[in-house]
Amino acid sequence: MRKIMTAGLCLVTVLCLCAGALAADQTLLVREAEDDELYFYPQQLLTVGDTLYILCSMEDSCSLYRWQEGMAEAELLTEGLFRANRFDTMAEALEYVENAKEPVPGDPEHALGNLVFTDGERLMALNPLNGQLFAFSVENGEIVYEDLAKAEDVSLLRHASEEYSYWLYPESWAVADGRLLLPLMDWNDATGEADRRMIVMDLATGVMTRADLPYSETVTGCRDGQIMLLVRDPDNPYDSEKGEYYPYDLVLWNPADNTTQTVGQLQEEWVNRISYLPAEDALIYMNDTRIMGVTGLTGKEQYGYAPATYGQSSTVVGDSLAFISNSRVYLRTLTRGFDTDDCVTVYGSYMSDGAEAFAEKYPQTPVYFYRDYYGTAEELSQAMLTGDDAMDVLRMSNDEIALSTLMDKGYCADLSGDAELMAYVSSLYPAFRDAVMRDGKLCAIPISAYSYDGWFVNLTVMEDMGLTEEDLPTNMVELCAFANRWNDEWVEEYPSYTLVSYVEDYKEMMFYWMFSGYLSYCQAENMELRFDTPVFRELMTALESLDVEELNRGANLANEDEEGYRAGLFMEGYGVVGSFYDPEKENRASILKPITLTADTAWHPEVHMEVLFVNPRSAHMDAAVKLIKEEIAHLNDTYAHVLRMDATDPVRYDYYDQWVQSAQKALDDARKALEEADEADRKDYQLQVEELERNLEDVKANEYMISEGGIRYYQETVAPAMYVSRPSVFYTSEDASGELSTLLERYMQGQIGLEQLIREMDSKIMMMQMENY
Amino acid sequence: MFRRKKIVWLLLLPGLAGLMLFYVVPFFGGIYFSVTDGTYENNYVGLQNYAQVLGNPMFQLGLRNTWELSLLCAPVIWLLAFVLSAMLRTLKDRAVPFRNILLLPYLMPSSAMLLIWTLMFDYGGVVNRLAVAMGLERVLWLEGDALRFPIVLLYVWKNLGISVVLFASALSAVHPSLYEYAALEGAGWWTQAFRITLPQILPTAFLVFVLAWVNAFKIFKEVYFIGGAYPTQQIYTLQHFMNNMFARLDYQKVTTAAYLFAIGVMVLFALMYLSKAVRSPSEA
Amino acid sequence: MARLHRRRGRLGLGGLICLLILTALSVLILIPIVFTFLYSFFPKGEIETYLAGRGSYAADKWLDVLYAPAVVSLRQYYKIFIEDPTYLRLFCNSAMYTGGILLGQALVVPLTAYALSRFQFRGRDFIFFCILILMILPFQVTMAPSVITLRYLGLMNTPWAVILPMWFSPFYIFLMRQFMVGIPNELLEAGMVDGAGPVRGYVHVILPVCKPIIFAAAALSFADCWNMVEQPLVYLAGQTSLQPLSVMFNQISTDGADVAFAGSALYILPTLLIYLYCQEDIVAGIQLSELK
Repeated sequence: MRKIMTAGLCLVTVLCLCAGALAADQTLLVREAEDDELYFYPQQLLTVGDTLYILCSMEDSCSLYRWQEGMAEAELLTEGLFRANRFDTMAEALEYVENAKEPVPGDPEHALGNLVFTDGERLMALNPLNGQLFAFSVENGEIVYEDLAKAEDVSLLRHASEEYSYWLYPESWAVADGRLLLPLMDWNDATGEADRRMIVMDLATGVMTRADLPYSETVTGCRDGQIMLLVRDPDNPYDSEKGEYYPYDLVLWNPADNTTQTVGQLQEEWVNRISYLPAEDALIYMNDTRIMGVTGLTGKEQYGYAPATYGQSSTVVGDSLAFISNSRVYLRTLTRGFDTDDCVTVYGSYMSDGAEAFAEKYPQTPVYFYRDYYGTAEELSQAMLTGDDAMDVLRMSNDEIALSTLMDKGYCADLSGDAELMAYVSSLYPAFRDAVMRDGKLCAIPISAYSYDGWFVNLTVMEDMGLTEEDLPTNMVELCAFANRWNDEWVEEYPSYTLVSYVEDYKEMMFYWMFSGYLSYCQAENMELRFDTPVFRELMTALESLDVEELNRGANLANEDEEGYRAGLFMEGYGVVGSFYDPEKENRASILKPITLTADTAWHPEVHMEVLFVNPRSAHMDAAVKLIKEEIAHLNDTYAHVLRMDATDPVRYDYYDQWVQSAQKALDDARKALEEADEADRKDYQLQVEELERNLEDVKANEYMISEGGIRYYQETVAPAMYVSRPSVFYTSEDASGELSTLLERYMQGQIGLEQLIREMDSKIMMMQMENY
Repeated sequence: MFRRKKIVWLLLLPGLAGLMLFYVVPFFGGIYFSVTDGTYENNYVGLQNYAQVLGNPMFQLGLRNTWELSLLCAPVIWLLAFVLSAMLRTLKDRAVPFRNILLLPYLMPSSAMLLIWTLMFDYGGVVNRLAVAMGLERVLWLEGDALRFPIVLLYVWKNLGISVVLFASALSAVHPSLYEYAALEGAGWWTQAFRITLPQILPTAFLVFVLAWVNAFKIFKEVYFIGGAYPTQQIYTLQHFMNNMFARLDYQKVTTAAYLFAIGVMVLFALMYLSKAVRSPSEA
Repeated sequence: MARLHRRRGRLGLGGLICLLILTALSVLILIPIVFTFLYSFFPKGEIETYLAGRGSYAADKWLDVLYAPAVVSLRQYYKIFIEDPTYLRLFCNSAMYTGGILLGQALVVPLTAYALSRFQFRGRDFIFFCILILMILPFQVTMAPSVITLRYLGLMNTPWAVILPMWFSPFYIFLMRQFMVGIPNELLEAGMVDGAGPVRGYVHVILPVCKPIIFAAAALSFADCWNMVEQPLVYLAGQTSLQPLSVMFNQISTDGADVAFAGSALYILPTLLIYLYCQEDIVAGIQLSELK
C-alpha cells in the first residue's frame, strides 16, 4: 500500500513538474503575414525588469508589444512609433509625412532607427535622422519621450559610398556602465573587404567612438557590469588542419576601466546570439534547435529546446529565453541539464514546414538536426548504430551512392506496416513508388523531386531568326549538325544570339550533354552501361564532325549592348519536372523541347528524388514516423504535384490578386495621366499605357503556378517518360570515377582515339561490374 | 640461452601486445566479416562469402594475374641474381661497389621513380627508340598486355639487389679450393657456376626463389601507381580486388578474399618450411 | 690482407667480361636516379614542354632525350622550399611518421627479438612462426579489420594509426632475432660472469653487440616508412593534411611539372644519404633475412 502511495505521489510530482515546465513554454506573438498587411515582423526583443517588450516593424511605423509572466500572449501597447530606417535624412522623412495621403503615425523627431536598446530600466533609441538619443515609454496608450542627449555625428552607423548608402543594422548590442557597445559590419565597396566596427556610445553625451576591441558579432551584458564578447578571427574562422572551426574566446570587457579578460573558450561552429542568464551565471545561445548554455562561463550544457534553427533577437526574461524566429516570438524555460526521453534526431534535413508543424503539434518532443555530414555509407551506418543521440530520421537523395548501399544492407526500417504511409506511397507516380519499394518492403518515403535537364526554346530568338519549330533539332545528333550550320551561316548575321545560352565551349558542352545523356539513357532503359553501342558511336561520330570555331569565338562574348551573355536560341538545364510546363498557355516566351540522344532513342527526363527513411535502430520510432507524416502533410505544392497522382488541383499564385490589382492600378493611373496630359506628352503617355496594358495581360496569364494544362502535360507526357536517377556505376568509388574521368579527359584532349576510349571505358566498367558479381 | 625465466614474458609483453592488437586480432577479427552478410542484421552465412568470392570473375582474374606476375618476376630475379652474384664472386673485392649499386634501388621510393619510368616507356620514349634501333616495332608499353613489361622491370629493378646479396653471402661460404680444382680441370666460367656453385648453395637458391616468389605477391604499389585502381585486365592483381572492395566498403568481400589469399601464401610458405626442414634436419 | 692484395692482381679474361657487364648494368640501374636529379635542374619552361610531349600516339613523334638543361635553374627548389609550403609540409609529415616509427621500433623490436632468441620457453617457436607468416602477408590481407580495430581504439585518422602498428612490424623483429640467434653463447656468458640478469645482459651485452644490425634495421625501416603508401592512404583516408609525401607525391607531380623532378630528387635524397652511410650494415642485415 505504501509503495503504491509513494509511486502515486511520485507520479503526481512528476506530472506537476512537467506541467510547470511546459506551462512556461509559450509562443507570445504569432502574426503571420496576411494578404492586406505584407510588411510586418517582430524586430527586437528588450527586457526591462521582468517585462518583455517586443518591437515590431510595419510598413509605415513601428509597434510595441509587452509581455509579463502570467500573460498568455503579448499585448499591444502602441502602433504609433515613427520608423526611420528607410529615410536617409530628416528632410526626406518630413517630406514623406507631408505628402502622405493618410496621416503617418508617430513623431519624426523621435523616430526609431535600427538602434533601439535598453539599459535594463527603460527603453531607449537613437534617431539616426537627427542624432537624438531618447528614452521612451507608453503610459495609458500615450507615448512619452524623454530626450537624453544629442549625437552630433552618426556617420559610424551608416554605409556610405558613391553608389548607395543606408543605415547599418547592428548584429547585437549591450549596455553597461552608461555605455552602449555596438558591433557593426560594413563593406568597403571599393575593396570588397569587410569593415568591422566595435562602436561605443556614451549614453550621457551621445558621443560615438570606435572602440579598440576585437570584433564580436554578438555581445551581451554579463556579470558585474561587464560585457561579454565572443571573439574569433572573422576572416579565418576555420581550422583546415583540424577540419573544424576554431573555438570562440569568451572575452569580458569592463567598460569602467576599459580592460578585457579572456575567461574561457566556446567550441561551436557559429553562434548567432548570446544572452546572459544571471541565475546560473550562464551564457545562453541556440545551436540548431538546442538551447545551450555555458554555465558559470565554463561548462557547456543543454538548457532547452526550441523549434527554430536560430533566434534572430534573443533576450532572457526571468528564467526564460525569448527569441524571434520566422516572424514569431517564442518563450522557452531555461532548465539546466535539460533532458527529455522522447526526441527525434534528423540527419540531412532542416527546420522545414513539416518539422515546424510537428514541433507545434508535439511541443514535448524536441526535433534535433544533425550538423555533421557523412560522405560514405560506412561512416553513416556507423553513426546510425552508435551514439546516444543516434539519428532517427534521415533525409537523402536517391542518387547518393551511400543511400543505395544502406538500403541494400537493410539500414532502413520497413514502414509498410503503417497504413497512412502506405496510402501516401501508393498515391505516388509509379516511378517514385517503385524506387522505394523493395521486396514488398517500404524502405523510404519520397519527399521531393526535381529535375534540371530540360531544353527550352527562346521563341523571340526563333522568330527573329525566321525559324519555325519544325526547323529545330530534336536530338543531339541533329543539334551537332545545327551547330555546324549556325557556325557557317548565322554567326555574322545574328551577333547577339547564340545556339545555347551561357555556353563557352560548344565541343566540351556537347560532349558533356551527350555523355551524361547517355548515362541517363542507359539507366532509364535499364541497360547495362556499355559504350560499344550504335547509339554511343552515333553520338561520338556526330561530335567529331562538330566544327564550331566561329560559334565558339563569339559564344563567350557579351551581346551587342555588352550587357550579359548572348541570348541563346536554346536554354538548357531547366526543370521539366516541377516546372509544370503548360503547352496550352498563351503568350509564352519559351517552349519546352524534348531533346533525345539520337533519332531512335526515346525521351527520358531525369528526376532527382529525395527521400526520408527511418533508422531501424531508432529508439523513437513513433515520433520518427509522426515527423515523416507531418513532412508529407506539409509538402510544398510543387513537390506534392510532382510526386502525387492525386494532386490534380491547379495552384494559383498566392499574390495573384494583388499583382493584378497593382498592375490594374498602374494602368488606371497611366490612363488618367494620359487624359490630363498635354498634347506634346501624349505620345509618351500613350506608349506607357500600351506597355502597361501588355503587362496586365502578362500578369493575368500567370494566374496559376501550377495550371490545369501543366498538370495534364505532366501526367500525360512527362511522368510516363521520366525516370528516377540511381547511383551510376560511374560513381562507384572515388577511384572509379576518377579513372573514368581521366580517360574522358584524355579523349577530349585528343590523346586517345574513340576506339580506345570505348575499349578502355567498357573494360573498366566491366571490371567494376564484375567485381560486384 | 636462458631457460624458464619468468622475466621473458615481461620482455615479450610490449611486443606481443602490439602484435596481438595490430596484427593478430585484426587478422582473426576478419573472420567475423567473412562469415556474415554485412547487412543491418549481420546474419551468419557460413561459407557463402567464400563461394561467392571464389566464383567472382574479377577475383579469379586477380588471382591468375598475381600468380602469373609472381611467376614471371621470381625466375627473372632468381636467374639474374644467381648470374650476377657469380660474377661478383669472380670480381672478388672489386665487387663491393657493384653490389651496393645493385642494392640501391631497394631503398628508392617507387613513386618517385614513376615519372622517369613513364617517360622511358612512353610511346616516343627511350625504350621504343632502342626497339626501333634494333629493328623492332614500337610498342604501346603503357597500355594493354605490354604494360606488364615495365611493371615487371620496375619490380626487378627494385628487388634484384636483395636476392643478389643473399646469393653472394651463400657463395662466399663455398670453399675456394673447389674452384681452383675446377679451373685445373679446365672448366669454364659457365660450367663452374652451374656445375659447382649451384649444387653447393642449393638450399639458398631454393630459398631465394621462394622468397622472390612470395614477395612478388606483394607487387601492387607499382601497378597501382602506373595503372590506377582499374588498370588493364592483364595487370589487375588480387590486391586490386581487395583494394577496390575496400574502397566500396564491402568488408565481406575484402576479408574473404584476404583469407583465401593468406591461405594460399601460407600453404606455399609451409611447403618451403617443410622442405627446408627435410633438407637440413640438424638445423630445425 | 696480404691475400686480398694478391687476389686483386689476378683478374682474368672472364673477370674482365664480368667487370664490363656489371659496369653496364650498374649504369642502367643508376639511370633513373641520375636522370631524376639531372632533370630537377631544368628550368620550368623546358621541362614542361618536354613532359607535354608525353602520351602522344603519333608515329612520327619522338621524345628527345635531354642531357643538359639550356640554363641550370634552381627556381623549382626555391619554389618547393620557400614559395609553396605544401611540399615542405608533406616532407615534415613524412619525417614525423618516420621519426615516430623508428623511435618506437627502437624500444620494442630489439626487446622482443631478444626474448625470442635468447630464451627457451614453451610457445616460442609458435610465436616465431606466427611472426613469419605475418611478415609475408600483403598489407591488404589485414586492411579491413585493422581499420575497424583502429577505429575502435579511436586512432583512425590520427597520425597514431600509421605509427603504432609499425612499431611492431614483424619483419624487423624477425631480422633482429636472426642476428641475435647467431650471437655466440660464450659472449653472453662472459658478460654474465658478475651475475648479471637477463635485463642487464640485454643492455650491456646484447645491445652493443647488435649495433650493426640495429643500424641496418633502422636504415631499412627508414626506407620502408619513407616509401609507405598503403597505410596512410587507408588509415588517414579523410585527412589530406596529415598525408605523408609518399602518398601525395603523384598528385604534386601532376599538379606542377616544373617541381615534379625537384620534388622527386628531394624525396629520394634522404634515403640515398642513409644508404650511402650504412650500406655495409644494410648488406649484412639482408644477408640475415635468409631463413636459418
